[in-house]
Parts: sequence; structure tokens; C-alpha cells
Amino acid sequence: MSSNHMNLKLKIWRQKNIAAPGGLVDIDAPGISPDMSFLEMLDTVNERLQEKGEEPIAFDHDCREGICGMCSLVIDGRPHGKEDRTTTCQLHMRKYADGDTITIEPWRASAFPVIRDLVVDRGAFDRIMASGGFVSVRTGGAPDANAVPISKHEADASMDAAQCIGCGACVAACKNASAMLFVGAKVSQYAHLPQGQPERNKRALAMVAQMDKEGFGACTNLQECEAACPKGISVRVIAEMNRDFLRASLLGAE
Amino acid sequence: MEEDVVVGGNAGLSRVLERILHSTIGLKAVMALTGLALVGFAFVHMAGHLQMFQGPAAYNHYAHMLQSLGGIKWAIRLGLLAACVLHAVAAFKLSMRNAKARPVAYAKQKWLVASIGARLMRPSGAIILFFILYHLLHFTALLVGTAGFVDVPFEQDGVAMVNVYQHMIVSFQNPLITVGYAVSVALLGVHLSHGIQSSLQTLGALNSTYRPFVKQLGPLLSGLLVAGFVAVPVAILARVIH
Amino acid sequence: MSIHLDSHIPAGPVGAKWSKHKFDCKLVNPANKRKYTVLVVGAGLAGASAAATLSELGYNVHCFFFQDSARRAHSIAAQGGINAAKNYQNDGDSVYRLFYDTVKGGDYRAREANVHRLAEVSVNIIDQCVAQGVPFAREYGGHLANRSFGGAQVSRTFYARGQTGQQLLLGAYSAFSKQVGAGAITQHSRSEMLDLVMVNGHARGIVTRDLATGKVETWAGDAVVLATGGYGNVFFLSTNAQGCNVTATWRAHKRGALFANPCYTQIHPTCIPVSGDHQSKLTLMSESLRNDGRVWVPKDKADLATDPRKIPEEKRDYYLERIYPSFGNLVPRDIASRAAKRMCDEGRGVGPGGLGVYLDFSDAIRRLGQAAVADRYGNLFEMYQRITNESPYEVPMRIYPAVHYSMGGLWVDYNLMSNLPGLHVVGEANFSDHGANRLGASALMQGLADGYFVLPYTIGQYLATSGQKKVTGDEPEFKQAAADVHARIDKLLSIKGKRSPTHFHKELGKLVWDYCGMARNEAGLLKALARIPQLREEFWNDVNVLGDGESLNVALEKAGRVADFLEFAELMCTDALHRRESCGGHFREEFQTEGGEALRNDDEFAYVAAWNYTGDFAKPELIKEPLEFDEVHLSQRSYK
Repeated sequence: MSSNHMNLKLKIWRQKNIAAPGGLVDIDAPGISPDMSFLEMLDTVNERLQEKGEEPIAFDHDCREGICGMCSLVIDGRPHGKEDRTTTCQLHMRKYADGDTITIEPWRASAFPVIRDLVVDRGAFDRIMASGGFVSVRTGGAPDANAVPISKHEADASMDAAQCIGCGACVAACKNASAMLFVGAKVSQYAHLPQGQPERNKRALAMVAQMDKEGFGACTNLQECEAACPKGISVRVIAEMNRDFLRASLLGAE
Repeated sequence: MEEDVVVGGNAGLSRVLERILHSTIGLKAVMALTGLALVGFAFVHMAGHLQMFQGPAAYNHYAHMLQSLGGIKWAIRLGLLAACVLHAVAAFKLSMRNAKARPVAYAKQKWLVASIGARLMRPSGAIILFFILYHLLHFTALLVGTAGFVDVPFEQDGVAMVNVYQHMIVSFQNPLITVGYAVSVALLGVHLSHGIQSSLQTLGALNSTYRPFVKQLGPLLSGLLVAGFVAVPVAILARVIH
Repeated sequence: MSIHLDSHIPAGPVGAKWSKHKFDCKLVNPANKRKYTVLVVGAGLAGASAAATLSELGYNVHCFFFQDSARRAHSIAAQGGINAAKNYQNDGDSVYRLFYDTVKGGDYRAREANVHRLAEVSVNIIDQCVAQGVPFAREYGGHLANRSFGGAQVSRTFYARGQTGQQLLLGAYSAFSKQVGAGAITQHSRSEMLDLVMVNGHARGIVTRDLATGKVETWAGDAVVLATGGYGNVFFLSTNAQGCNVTATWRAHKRGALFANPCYTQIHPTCIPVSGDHQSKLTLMSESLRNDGRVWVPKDKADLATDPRKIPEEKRDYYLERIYPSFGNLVPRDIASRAAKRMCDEGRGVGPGGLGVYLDFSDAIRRLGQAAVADRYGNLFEMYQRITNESPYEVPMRIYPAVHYSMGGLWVDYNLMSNLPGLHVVGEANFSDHGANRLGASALMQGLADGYFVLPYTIGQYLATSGQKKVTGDEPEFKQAAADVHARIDKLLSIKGKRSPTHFHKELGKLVWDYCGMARNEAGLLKALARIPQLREEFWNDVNVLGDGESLNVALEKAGRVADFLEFAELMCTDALHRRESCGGHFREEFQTEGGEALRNDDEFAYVAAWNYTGDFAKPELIKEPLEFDEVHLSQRSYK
């Protein structure tokens, strides 16, 4: 083992299933290379656990390149860990020092129940999307893509919002477990495009109603979500959604 | 753009109210509007108080003018009361909801960018509410802290007025009251340092161009308000006004 | 019993086949569509777009995927763009040119008719995505921007920053969500398909395991659509997501579906090199980097340890520009990958283990300025820096090829139906339209073409003509399949050995990378074929899967997938051994030109190798579908 390897102490949330109580468990993580990603560190820990006859720690992950939004983890009190604009899978262990203690917890929100260990159910996000996060166009019959010019500025604003990976870090970071940044990002993406206009009122009303129904908290504009967002989605999307929602509400729109 | 189907009459109106009063964003908007209205009142109130520096005649005249507004006075009072109640009730409802949304706390939590003012909205708001109640009992209803208040009216040009100026002097020569007021007003400043920008954000009035500006404007306005409110009691305590 | 393969390619000139076929396909009466249930497995570009479109047509659709949300499939990671023959740039592009480039790029191992159809519908995809609100990059005038990509000499690639796959997948996911909201799609997240159910010779159902609860369930339908992606993770290290697996297609194969061309794997040239044993995946850096970056290695081995910035110009070998002067750094992926391997084999590779070449932006920064380079590649440079701790603005990037895409897959006919009636396969999971090598920005195109514009027509042909009775899921075939799945899970849990599933996966990955990776030869393949069955044996005797089957069990999921890779790997090596030629992603060292390029053998191997499972992994039956080239004439690909 080369000399720059680190020995870490982990405090990890372990929970057998959705109904069982959970708790923080101390686990040693020796021989961690600074070149490992955070999840590779957990892989290494899992291999050791299994050798000792203990079940591996369950955590969500898939692409491991910061785009699928499946990985999560609140690391030392911060969603996706200490590096700005970086998902857990892209966080590398060189950010830590030998002897560090790292606390790892799941996303905390009543709308995101813990399924096991660090894995939570984010189905609420899908239900919000199904309530209005789309343009009602069926396959076929779309006009030529260049038929409606869209200013670069608006297209860029739309893309800024569309970058959301749906990981839920905004909810995890918010003291109220509010989903406003996630929902705002989708509302804003379409609000900046001509294709989004016909259903603009309806979309804002429906998605906010579903968001509330799922039990997410309210936004108190602390902007922790923006700071925790691995894609740097701006809270301007929240202001835009508020505007759309209030206008549509006052209009009595259907 | 497709015409939205708008349901008219009572059904439409009740839906508007339903959406505003039963959604998180609607309730936040209620808080934002009432909050901004109260901020507006606070500035007028502060400007009135600064007339203490112009002597008893000016100040008592100002107070007398307010007292003689009659129906308008009561309309304003009711409006302010409604604003306070709506603001507080909405805050309470949302707080309950928020607590339910995050039932399990993190073992370790790190604040990333939230300002002190933003994190102290609930306690500062609650203390301000108690302060307002005390303040009304103190200077309006004359039920508490009235030791040393004289009942002799202030007379000028044949008009008899309540000597509010004297009430102020007597009250704030008491260091305890002055410190209590200063702390409460400072908390109001803390509350508004986040509240002003938060209200505008909630109402959807901010975009990337204005947000940075308003982010600085909020604390600046709060600072002005605190300075204006604290100036009078401190001047009285320091015997600059007497 | 040998199988006769009929690709059902319509007659007539290549440009008229699809139009004619669409007319010839039987239609399902609109009122009857809701009586048909289609089971779609996978929710990537192909699966989500197929599920959305089929449900729009009125079919009753169930969609199953192992991720927690349909928004996460690995299509999301495609960075560079999507091709379409729009000719918005007026630079001479056309459907025919896209068709031609794709057939040639695939090294003449794809079906002309399929590829032409792909090129035809490419233009509809862009229209569809824009209508859905996909925020493609635009020019100041408000029209769509294009870039040239991956060896194309025209600018036909549409993109959304460096996240095109993400935006297209989220577009398909939005259409999917719309249908879920309308109650037309039933989605099953964290659900893994573990078997295919055949009734009366037709694919009529699947068996799934709910990964959160462990519940094994059977689902009955009128047709099954597999959109389960590629098998790149057989190599353990690849650019695929951790969950990508061969299980769905492999279990279908074991139920009779032919597996075509499994040896065609694409090795992507621009990935971040391996840093150590702990590595769980390789990260791709968009091919677009080669538009401005220059690839080189030191001429002199003595310079390998020297700081690359201090190596003078005359001591650098810009080998792609030297060997391929007309395409230079933009040669297709297989060519660029092999050239990098050659440099490293010559001992001129840089970085740890000598497995890397430089991709240098200093010229581009001098020419365009750092700001312009940051504007184009900033997010990629950041990603590189996060992983390697080096800034590409200051030090040349180090890159090395990595497994990326599977051109092979289940065999399908022109209707995207496998040899098993009712079993349709779309996207990367089928052996598809890319031949032996896929061109950049063509995977997104194929996934969406299959899902939005091809399958919705062709599945009707099957449903309208199959004449099968309804199944309920209570038939003995369903019960048997579920029992098989239970037995396998119980077996995995009962072994209680010493080695973790990952341990076996790593060993298998290294084995196939060494002997069936970027370059293959007979001796190596024979070695791999001797070792794989042993490894499989060891796995079934010594794998350690803790926990139970009744809850979320990551080790159990992994073990099931590794078990299938251990079987699939043998077929991949068998295919590689039998194909005694080099073509595209399949490079047999025995068959190369003097210049080290792939040497095809069109006389003997211009066919699709479709393998039939016989019950003995060592002796699959080879069934050939001959390839005919009427339009694009066979010639050696030259990018010089």
C-alpha cells in the first residue's frame, strides 16, 4: 500500500428497510487512495464488509460521471459533499486528509422515504413531472425544427434550467425539504420557449399542486438549494415559477 | 397562445382564494405582500418619530394629526392588524408544514450561504410580534410602562393635545426600556435584511439582473430603518433630546 | 433444427423501401389498440420514446427499468450530439450522404436498408425534439446551430452544450411522463427483467424482480420490447453506467433469440486513463475535443517522463496528423483508438503504466484564446480536472481508449423484431444499424429513430397478424419462468462463498479486455475461451452473496448480472474467434494491412453472425445473414 493512502473513519446511516429504525454506524475505511472517487471509496469499504460477512452498504449510483442524478448522500452535512457544483460520484478523495471522520447520511425529507441505508425513494419527483412537466405534443407532425426561431438568449436561459439532473440535492439541502428549485427548473425551461407557452399557466398550477401534495416544504428563499445544486441551477427559476403560478392563480386559469 | 379557460363568478373567485390560501407559493405571496405593506408602514412610522428631533410642538402636532384622522385612522389600524395577522398565520401554517416535510434532522448539517437573518426569521418574527404587542400597550393603550407619564395636555394655539413627546422622553430615559426597544428594533432589522429580498423573490419580481442589487438593497434598507428607529430612544437616553 | 433468417427487407430501391413498407404494414384498428398490452423493458432513449409513442397510439404500455426513475438511463451521458441530415448548413449534406457515411463508417457490416431508413427519419427526430422543448444550441438569428463531429466532413450534428444525450433523454422522459400522467403508461421503477416468457412460440411476457422489495412478478402482454442497452460492462471497466448489463438480452437469448455480432464493441478513443485498481468506471471525454485538441506522444522514449510542456515541437509525434493527413485528429473512433494503442505498444505511451497519449489544447488556446476554448469545452475541462487534478488549460490532457458502445446485440429483422415472434429489440440492444463501428452522434439518432418512428409502425404489423390468444399470466409457462428465477436467486444466496460478485466481475473484465479488447488474436481468444468456463465454475461455487432476496440487496443484483456476463463473454470471444477478418471495432491482429489498418475479408465475412443458444455455451450454432451492398460499394475505408 503506497504511503499516500489514507485511513478514514466513516459514520454511515444504516437502515434495513423502509419500516425499520436506522442509525449511524461507525465503519473504518483504511487504505483509501486520493485518486478514488467518493463512491469508489464506498466500493472499497463494501468489499471489506462482505469479506467480514457483513452486508454491503446500499447507496444509489449509476453513471458515475455526474449526469444521471442517481447518486445522492449528504456528506458531512452537505448534499454531494464539499466540492461546489460536483455530484458525489465526481467528488474525489484527494479532498480529504488521513484521519478524517466523514458522516454520511441519506437525503432527508418526508417526501423521500429511506428504502435502505442511503437509498431513498424519489418517486415524488416523477409524479410532479407527470403532472405537467412536458409539452403536450404527440410523436409525428412536428413542424420543421427551424420554423420558429428562438433567440439564443432565450434558448440559453431555457438550457440553464434544463440542466437539472433531478438528484434531489435541493430538497436535501433545504431546511424545509422544499422542491422549488427542481420544479422551478422545469417550469422555467418551458417558459423560455415558444413551445412551452400554450400550457404555461396550466403547467405551473399543476406542478405546484402536485409538489404540495407530495409533502415538500415551502421555500423560504435561503438559497441553500442553489449553493448545493451540482449543476448550479439559479434560484431565478423559483422567482419565475412564482410569477407564473401567481399570475395563473389570480387569473383563475384552468 | 391558447386562451385560458377562465371560470367567472363566485366559483372562479373561490378557486383563486383556494389556490392562494392552500398552496405553499400562495401563502408565501400573502406573507410577502403583507410583509412589504408592513415595511412601508414602518418607514412612515420611523419618519414620524424622527420629528422628535424637532421638539415637542412638531412631534405632538404630528401625533395629534394622526389621532384626528378618525375613520381613516381606524381603517389604517385595521389594515395593519389584518396584515400582521395574515403574515403571522401564514408563517405559522407554513412552519408547521415545513416541520412535517423534514421530520428527521441531519446528524450533521452545514449552512452553505444562508445569512443569519434568513436563518432567524422564525425567532425574530416571534419576538417582533411580542414587541409590537408591548409597544401598542405601552404607547397606544397606555396600559404598561406608563410610570411618569403626565396627564397634562400639551397646548398650543388653543389646541390641547396628548403630550406624547413627554411620554417618549420619560420612557426612553429608562435604560431598560431603551435597550429593550433597541434590541427589538435590531431584530426587526435582522428580519427585514432577509425579508425584503425574500418578498420580492416570492412575488417573482426578481430576475438575474435585479437579484444581486436587491440582495444588497434589503440589508441597506433594514439598516436605515434600524438607525432611524434607534436614533430617537438613544438620543433621549443620551439627553440629546429632553 | 436450423433457423432460417428472413430480414424482411422490402423490395425496391433503397430510398423507397421505408415508404413502401410503412404502407404495407398492417394497421391495428384504433379501437382495438387499447386491447393490446406492450411490455417495454428499459427507459433510455429507445425505450422511453417507444413507450411514449406506443401509448399515444393507444396501446396499453407497461415500462420496466432498474433505475429509480425513467430519467436516468445511460443515454443521458451522451455528450456530443445527434446527427440529422437537415442540411441546415448548406454544406452538401443529404439523407443519402448520411446513409453513405454510416454504411462506410460501419465498415460495411450494416444493413443498407436499415441505415437508409435511419438517415431518412433522422430529420423527423430533430423536429420532434424541438417541439418537445429540447433546448438545442442556437445561433444569434434564432436558428439551430450545428457542429461537425466524429469524422464527418459536413456539419450535421445538433447539440445542447455538452449534454445532448441528457436533453434528448429528458425530452423523451417528458413525453413518457405525459403518458404516465394520462394513465396510459404504467411504469415500474427499480424493476429488473430476469426472464422472457414464451407461450406457443411467441414472446408473451417477462419476469421481473422489484429491486426495492425483492418481489418476483410475472407480466403478460401481447408483445415485448427490449430496450436494455449494450453489454460494454462485460469488460468491467467501461464508460457505461454501473447498472448497465446484458441480463435482459442474454436471458432472451437463452429463450431462443439470436445474438448477432457480439464481438463488435466500440472502443472510444478519448477517455480518461485508469488511475488504479480501485477504479469502477472510465470517464469519456467528448469526441468533440478532437475538433480543437491535437493528439501526440513523444517521439523519443527518453521524453516519457519529461513535463510535456517542455518537450519541443520537433520532438513530438502528432501521429494522427502524420498517418492520416486528410482527416488528421478527426479520424473515426476505431481508427483513433487503435492508433493510440499502437503508440502505447511501441512504448511511447505516457502517464501511469504508459497507457495514455496527450490531447493538447495549447495551440487552440494560442489561436482562439482561453475564453473561446473554455466556452467550447469548459465543462469537460472541469470534469477532467475533478478526476485527475490537472488543468487541461495548463497541461495537455492524457487520454486512453475505453469500451464505450456495443454494435452487436440481439438479431432483429427490418421490423425490429427478433427471430422470436413478438420480441422486439430497439436501440443499442439490437445489432442495429452501425455495422462493425458506430460513428459519433449516431447512437442518439438510432435510439430515437427506433422508438419514435420505426417500432410504432412495425409493431402493428406483428400485432395485427400474430393471431395469438390472450394470455393472463396464469399459464404454466409463466409459472415455470418465475420458478426458474426464484431458483436462481436462491442458488446465488445459498453458495455463501468467499469472493464478492465484483471480484469475479473484475477478473472477467480484465480477461476479456486483454484478449478480446482493442485487438484480438487467435491464441489470446483461445486462452480466454479456456478460462471463462473455469471462472464461471468458480463463481457458482465461491461467490459470496450476503443478505436475503426479500429486500433491496445490491450484492444479489450484481451477482445476477455478473453471472450473465460470465456466460455472454464466452459467446463474445467465440464470435471474435470465428470472424477471421478485421473490421471496425473488431480488430484481429492476424488480419491487418501493412500500415496496420483493419483488413476486411468481404468474400468470406460479409455477413451478420447470429448465434443460436444450444444449451452448451461452448457450442452455439452460427446462423448467417448475408449482407448485400447495392448502393455503397465495398472498398477499404481510407481516411488518409
